[in-house]
Amino acid sequence: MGPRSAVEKTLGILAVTTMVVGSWVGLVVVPADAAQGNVQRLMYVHVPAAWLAFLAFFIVFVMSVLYLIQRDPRWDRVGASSAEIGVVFTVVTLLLGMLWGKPTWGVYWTWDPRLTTTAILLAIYVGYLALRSFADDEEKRARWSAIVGVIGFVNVPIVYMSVTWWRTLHQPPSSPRSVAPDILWTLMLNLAAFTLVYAYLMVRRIRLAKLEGELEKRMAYNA
Amino acid sequence: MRKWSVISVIYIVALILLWVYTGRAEMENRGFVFAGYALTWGALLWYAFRLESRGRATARAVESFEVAGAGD
Amino acid sequence: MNKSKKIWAGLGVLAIAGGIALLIAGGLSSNVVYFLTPSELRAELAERADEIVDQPLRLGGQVKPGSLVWDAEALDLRFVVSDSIGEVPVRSTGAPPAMFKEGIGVVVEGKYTHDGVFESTNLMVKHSNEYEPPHGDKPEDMYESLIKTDE
Repeated sequence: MGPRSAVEKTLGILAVTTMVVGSWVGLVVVPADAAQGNVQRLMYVHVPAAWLAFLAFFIVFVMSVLYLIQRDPRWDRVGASSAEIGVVFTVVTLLLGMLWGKPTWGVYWTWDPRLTTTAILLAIYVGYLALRSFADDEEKRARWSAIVGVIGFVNVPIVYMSVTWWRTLHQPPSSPRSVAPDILWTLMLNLAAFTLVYAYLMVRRIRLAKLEGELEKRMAYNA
Repeated sequence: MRKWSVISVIYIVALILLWVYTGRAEMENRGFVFAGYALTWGALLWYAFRLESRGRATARAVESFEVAGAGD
Repeated sequence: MNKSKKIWAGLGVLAIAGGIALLIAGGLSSNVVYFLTPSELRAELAERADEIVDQPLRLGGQVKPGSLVWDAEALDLRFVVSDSIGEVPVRSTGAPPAMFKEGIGVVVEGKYTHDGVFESTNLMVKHSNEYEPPHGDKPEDMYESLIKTDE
C-alpha cells in the first residue's frame, strides 16, 4: 500500500483515543437512564452509528452529484469509499438496535416504518456496492453508481422522518430538551469519536481505492 | 501480521474487562450491553483490518504488473 | 472480472432491487399505518366487523392506569389499551417486557376475537425519547459502589 500520511496517523490515534474515552464514559462514568436502566448505555453506540451512516450516505450523494457534473474519477472513488463505510455503520446500527430492542420493546425486530425504511437503506447501498462489482468499465461503473448514489439518498431523510411522519414502535429523535445534560454530552462525545473513526476509515479506504484504480489501469494496459 | 495479533489480544482483554465490569456493577441486561459494545468495537476493528489486508493484496498485484511490464 | 463472477454479481443486483421493490410495495404500504388506535379499531368494528374480527392486526395505545391484572401463576395478563377516546380490553399470556407498566405506551400484535377481547400474541413496549439519570440519591449510590469496586 501507498505511504501513510501524517494526517492518517494522527486521525488513527485520535479516533482510537476518543472511542476508548467515549465507551468508558458511556459504560462507567455516566449514570444510566432511570426508566430503562443500564441497557440505555447502548444508546451511546447505536445513535452515533446511525448518524454516521446518514453522514456517509450524504457524502456519497455529494460525490455522486460532483461526479455527474465534472466526470472526475476522484469523486467516484470518494463516493464508493463512503458507501462501503456507510454500509458497515448501517449494519452496526441495525444489530445494536436489535440488542437494545429486545430488553426494552420486548422484540428484536418489528416491521415498523423506522425499521423497515432502515432495512431498505441497507439494501440500497449493498446494491450500490454490488453494482460496482458488476460493472467492468470504469466510466460506466462510475456513472451508474453516481445515479444510484443520488436516487438512493432520497431514502435517508425518509428514514430520519419516519418516526415523525408515521406511527412507529421506535421513539422519535431525542433532542437536547428530552435528554438530561450528562447523557447528552456523553452522546456528543461518542458522536465525535464515531466521526473521527469515519474520517480515519475514509482516508484509508480512499487510499485503497486509488490503488485499485492503479491496478485496473495496469491490467487494462497488459491485456 | 504482528500488529493485528497485538490488536486482537487488546480487543479480547477489553472484552474480559467489560464482562467483569458489567458483572461487578450488577448491570441488569448485562448480556445485551456486553454484546452491543463488543459488536461495535469488533466490527470497526475488523473493517480496519480488512482495509489493510485488501490494500496489501492490491499492492502486491500492482507490483506483479510492474515486474511483468519490465520484461516487455 | 470473469464471467461467472459477473453473473453472480448481476443476480445480486437483481435480488437487491427486487427486495427493495418488495419491501416498498408489501412492507411499507401496510406498515405506514403500523398500528390502529383503540378508537380506530372501534370505528372499524362498527363498520365492517366481519372483516376485522379474528384477523391479525396491531393495536397501539396506552395501558390504562388501574386496568392491569396479572396472574403470575397462570401467566395471564389482562389490561385495557386506550387512547383518549376509545378503549379495548387486551389479554396476553406470558411475562411482559420489563418496562411494561400502567400508563406506558404499547403495541400489541394479535386479533380481536368474538368475545370482545383483543388476544395478544406479541406485546411490545414503546418507550419515550426522554432520558435522565435516576432522581434522588441513586446516582450517588452508583458512584459510591463504583469507588468501592475500584478499591
